Amino acid sequence: MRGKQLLIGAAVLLLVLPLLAQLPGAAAPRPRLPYWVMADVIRGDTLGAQSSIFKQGDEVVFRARVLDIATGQDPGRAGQGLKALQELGLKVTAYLEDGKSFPMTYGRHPAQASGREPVSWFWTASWRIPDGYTGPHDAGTLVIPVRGARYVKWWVMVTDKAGANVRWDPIGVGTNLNPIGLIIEKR
Amino acid sequence: MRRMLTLFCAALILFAPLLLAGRPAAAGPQGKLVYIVAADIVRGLFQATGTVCVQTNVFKLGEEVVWRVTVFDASNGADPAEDGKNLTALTERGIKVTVYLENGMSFPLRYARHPGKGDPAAWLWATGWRIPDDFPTGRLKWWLVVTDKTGAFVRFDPIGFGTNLGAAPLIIEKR
Repeated sequence: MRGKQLLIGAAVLLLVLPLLAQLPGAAAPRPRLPYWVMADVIRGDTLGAQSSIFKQGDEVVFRARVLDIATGQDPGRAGQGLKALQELGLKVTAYLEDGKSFPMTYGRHPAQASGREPVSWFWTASWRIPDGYTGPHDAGTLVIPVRGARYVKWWVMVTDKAGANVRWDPIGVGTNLNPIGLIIEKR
Repeated sequence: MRRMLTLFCAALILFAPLLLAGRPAAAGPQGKLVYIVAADIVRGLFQATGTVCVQTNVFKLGEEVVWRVTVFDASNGADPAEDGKNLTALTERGIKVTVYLENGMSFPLRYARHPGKGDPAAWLWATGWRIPDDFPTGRLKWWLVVTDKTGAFVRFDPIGFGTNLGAAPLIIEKR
């Protein structure tokens, strides 16, 4: 009789344990960095090439890709998970050190893809550099000086409702290496 | 017989959690994405036709493409080599960073201080490739892979990889 009870108990446990393992509370601790952020800047012209050097009046396009570190996947699931993004409260913002900020929007690129043209989903924001804009630093002080130009540092922040706060800086932040900022020349 | 059944059930109860914990479904994807990788490309000094050491993906024949990469441990967001203070950690982990071109070429990256002299400096992975003067012009996809002794394999693709967007591949033009 006791053996039968034990057998039933074991069977119940075997059924219940996998369910418990799937509960959020039973999941592994969330990594300290919840998102893998990648970002770059491109020119806002037809070619859209990468660049960190611009002229006044040019358009800078900030681009960012945000992946969930736990899964390695885009939480927006290439446009199929827009509701999930809202639920997460995911916000991606590009900042300039002079106080300007640009909220980025999650969208399809190229936006006007034709037929079976491959597309990619990521976050973007753009900034038309005002004609009179001058960055806070002299680009002549960079490791490889760029005479007559100025630069402004930039970074990207990713936040969500759960309190995640991930900052992405260009490679070499904290140094005077040239790609740390947007170099802006007079037109 | 009853005693054997009791023992079997007791063993099942004791070991069931261990067996279940080993199942991939319960373990989740942890351990897969062990490194956070960032990468960019800049114009090198060699035969440069434009401003040196700025980000670009458009190069002329004879110019130098420089890949720069940072690799951080996903568990703590820190450089495994502690900004050059713990180089043995890289050897112990066997971390390797390699850039691949779609034509089959590949370039191992080296972890070093940048700039080489003077402060402040940053420690990162880098390599350069001088585009041969007779190299075919056009678009060339690239990506990089980070591996280690434990079998970690993290691939970084530039944003927009696989699309026709202009910023993803290297664009090589005539000089």
